[in-house]
Amino acid sequence: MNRRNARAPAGPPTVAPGLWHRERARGPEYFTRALGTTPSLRGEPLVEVEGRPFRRFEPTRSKVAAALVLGWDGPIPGNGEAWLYLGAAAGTTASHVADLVGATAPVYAVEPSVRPFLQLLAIAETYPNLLPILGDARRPESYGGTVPLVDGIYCDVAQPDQPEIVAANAAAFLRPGGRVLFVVKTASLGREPNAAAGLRQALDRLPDSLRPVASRSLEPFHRRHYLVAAEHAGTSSSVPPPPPRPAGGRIRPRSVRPGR
Amino acid sequence: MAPPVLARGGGVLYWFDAAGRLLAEERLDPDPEAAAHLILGRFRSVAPARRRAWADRGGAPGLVAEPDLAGALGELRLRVGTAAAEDLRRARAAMPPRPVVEERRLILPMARLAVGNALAGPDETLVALAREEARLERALGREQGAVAQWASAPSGPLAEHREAARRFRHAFEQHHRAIEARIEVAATAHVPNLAHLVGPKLAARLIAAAGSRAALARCTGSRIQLLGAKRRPDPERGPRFGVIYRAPGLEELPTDRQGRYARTLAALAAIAVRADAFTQRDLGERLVQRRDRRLAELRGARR
Repeated sequence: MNRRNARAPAGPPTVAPGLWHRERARGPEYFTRALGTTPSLRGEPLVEVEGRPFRRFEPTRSKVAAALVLGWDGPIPGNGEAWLYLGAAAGTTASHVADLVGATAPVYAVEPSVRPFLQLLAIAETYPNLLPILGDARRPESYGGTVPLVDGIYCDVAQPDQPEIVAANAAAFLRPGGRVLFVVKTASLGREPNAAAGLRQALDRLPDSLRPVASRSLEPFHRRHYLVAAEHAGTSSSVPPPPPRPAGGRIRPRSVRPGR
Repeated sequence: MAPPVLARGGGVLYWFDAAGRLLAEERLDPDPEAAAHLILGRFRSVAPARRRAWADRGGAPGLVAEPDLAGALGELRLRVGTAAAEDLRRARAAMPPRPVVEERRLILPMARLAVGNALAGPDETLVALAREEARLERALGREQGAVAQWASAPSGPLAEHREAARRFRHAFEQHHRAIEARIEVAATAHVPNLAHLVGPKLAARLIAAAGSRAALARCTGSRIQLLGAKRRPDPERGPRFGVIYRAPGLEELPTDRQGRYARTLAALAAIAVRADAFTQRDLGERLVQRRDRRLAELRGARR
């Protein structure tokens, strides 16, 4: 445990199993129950809640934490749920998601880049339920033999085809009634200068079977980012495959490009 | 009617009949490392007799399997189709839940193997070498300044430290030279045309900036000209000085012609790397001639 763990033990309020929060003068702070053998992975402060270490969920590092601090009222990964995490990068938020679902539920963390994956793997070695997969979220079939049907999909990929990536993975892995937490990175979507318009375009590109239930801008923690929660609306056992991407027409003339 | 499906879930093979009922299951290998090897090798290391038994166990004609498995079984000329996404989803839904401990036992060795294989590839080797070389070059530059500030006499009370610093610097330079030699070999093997055109060191840095040879081959000349650019000359203008500004010969030109040369060189580099990545044709000498012609033009050009 790090030096800041010397803080006085704390008790309720617990927001959800594995998630604890407290009010501070500068705003609320959220903590997740640390499941790893190294409780503080990136030097985040720890507190002790009912004898268990909880680590701070940093809003500047994690979009879910930012949404919680900003008053998120949508779903979050719950205890006992299996989640598929797309774009896990070095594993900071993925490890918090693993904290939230608890030690007996898996988090399948997909990352295509080798160097961040090394850090993700190092964290996964210390976690009971974080399962790293070196793969491309655009090709769900490449990890189809590893990932079962899951209760939720978290997608945080900086790609222009983010909605199609969510749709393809939901079609392959999301159980009926499952949930999606989709970080919409409007700056990566294209050259739409208006972030809200970018969000609308991204939502329009989601399949009808994924019904958005909550969305929230993550300003000022993450510029031009939104967190969107969607639920699998259909009652059938399948999510239809994603529609093809719109062809062309996405490059705007220089005069309407956003200023830098 | 849906076809019977042979599908993998973790380290287990499952057989489902046409109605989606689980017929049988078989663990691929009790040793997770061996199972990981087997899966990452796309099932090619499995003995043909065992693969034939897998297909036979499906029983009915029209058996479908996930792409890797179907490919491995197809090599034995067995009639196994590739399962549609919908069939695989149906199979996933019917698989019994797997405990996290079991999943972890298989997925961690798979991840270790996959990352080891990826890092051993020529792209990642070149990227790692280029980054290390750039880091050493920066560090050596800083060292140069530190040596200049060292103010003790050769025989004074700090003489031993002076000697230690000299040895340290010598070892540092040796390491840098060794890395440069390694880059030359790796770049000449992986991107021969590009290495011939812009030099192995710059070729490696361009690949590191793009991420891989394939990514660099998808870049336009104008993008290559900006790769690695970190600052903008002023807030009103975009970034300008990418790694291509470190090309040999560029510094000899007056500053007002360096941009023109960088543009030409980036365009030629785009051709070179596409030849390396796609056609494997030897264009190096022709591109070098075009480069030298342009360099001569610019040397003699008036503003």
